[in-house]
Amino acid sequence: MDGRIIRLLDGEASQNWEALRETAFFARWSERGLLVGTDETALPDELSPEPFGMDVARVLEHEPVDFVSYPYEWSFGMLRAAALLQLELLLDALDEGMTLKDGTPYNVQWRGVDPVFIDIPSITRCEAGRPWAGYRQFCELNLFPLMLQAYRGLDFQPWLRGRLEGIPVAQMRRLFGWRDCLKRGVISHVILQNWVSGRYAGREEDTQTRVKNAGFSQELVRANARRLRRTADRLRWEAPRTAWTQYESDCHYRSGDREAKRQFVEDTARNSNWRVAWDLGSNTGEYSRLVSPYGESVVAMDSDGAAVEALYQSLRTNGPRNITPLVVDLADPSPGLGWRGRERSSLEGRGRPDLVLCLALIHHLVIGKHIPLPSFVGWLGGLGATVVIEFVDRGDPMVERLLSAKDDHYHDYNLGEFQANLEACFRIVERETLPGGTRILFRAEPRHEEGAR
Amino acid sequence: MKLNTPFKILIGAGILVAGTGNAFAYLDPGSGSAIVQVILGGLAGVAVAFKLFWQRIKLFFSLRWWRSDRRKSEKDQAH
Repeated sequence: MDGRIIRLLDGEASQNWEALRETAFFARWSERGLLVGTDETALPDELSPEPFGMDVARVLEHEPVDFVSYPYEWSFGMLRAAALLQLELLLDALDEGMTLKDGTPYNVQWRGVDPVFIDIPSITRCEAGRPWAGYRQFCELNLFPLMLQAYRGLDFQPWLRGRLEGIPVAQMRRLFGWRDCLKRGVISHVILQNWVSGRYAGREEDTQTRVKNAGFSQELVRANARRLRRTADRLRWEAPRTAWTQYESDCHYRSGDREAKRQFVEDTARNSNWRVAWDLGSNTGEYSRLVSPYGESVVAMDSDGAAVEALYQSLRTNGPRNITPLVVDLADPSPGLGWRGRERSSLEGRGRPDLVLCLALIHHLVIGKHIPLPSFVGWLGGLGATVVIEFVDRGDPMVERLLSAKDDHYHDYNLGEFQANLEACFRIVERETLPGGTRILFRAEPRHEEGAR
Repeated sequence: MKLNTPFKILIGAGILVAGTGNAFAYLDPGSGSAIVQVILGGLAGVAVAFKLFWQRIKLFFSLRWWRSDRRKSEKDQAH
């Protein structure tokens, strides 16, 4: 509500919160920024608990993150970091008699390239003798997607977007044969888990109680968490060199174009008043980095998982840390998913930028992906943000390369049409043709800023 | 061939779990996961697994003993 994140707790959740706030790890993790900032607050007047059908015992307020993202928009390294964060938290919680009641990466968000655990009520008091309830979920939503990418080279994002519960163990088993037994974690978490789950499916006995009576201890949960951490930690994916990871070096800018473009973008970022920027088609992140000092955070979106992974790793090593790279295909952006399409919001439903960079992108969408030019410019206008957009004209080698492989049905792809469409939604503040003559940069302000927001 | 630890655990677990009933149509999400965590628990899990499957182990050995005893008495009768 109004940019505030309010959470209502029932009696049991409230007791868990009371136990949590007394622990040393809660203070430690909060101080390091690994747990989302959380304070107790009063129930806001405008919020009624009735629709939720619960007795509210306590109200918490969380510090918001700049942009909510989901695991099917993360790169390999990001999902791996989120998985490790959950296991570290579980291990620290176990030391103080607490546990995590689930194992989902949806409990993690990003502040730049730093993961933050946000689901405070999922840290609960530990019941002695209980196995970790989140184990299977952890595998299906974290470990299996990572294994798929590390061992098979398959992008996990479509799998997670296709099924919010992740990859079921039975399906994972079908993807891994006996030949994969030598790969770390396959025997234990895929083959064994699938086999035992099948064996115990539908048995009426209370296995949880039997396991407890047989002496199951927290030491076992700890041993399993350490084993999972070892497995996840050693998973590696070498991002292949794709057209997009190499884009800046392969893209043959004409003399002086690159320098002039950088200057234009940096001037805009410096002179505009913005907090959150979206860099659409960010590839190596050159322009995200350029603008990042002038605002609070940048969301760098690209459809190429390898480019996003390369950017994530580079940001982790060299900074700046206020850029969050995401795997997003603008021709097919994340829709609303889950129950009534509302459990996970669409890309645009999660917030709007103040500044948009749309550099060397429009020809890929219009010619490469057949998105009508007026439709794309209209969509940009709907974001209600200042935009820096580069029009790459027909004489440019990159456009010629795109057109050479197809029939030219793109008669409206020319500077005049583009500018007319842009002016319908924006007020053009600045226009500069780069020295090479085929690339034109525009700085434009939305015409209906207030209405669009 | 030197077996890695998960292989040994798998073989050990196979002896203990084999012989359980057929799967039914619905799935109980917790049971399999709990047993896997016992088996993967390494040394700490061995004692738990032993207690958990003690009845089955007893049954396994008593059946073997009973069968060999019966074969022996059948042989004695044949003589």
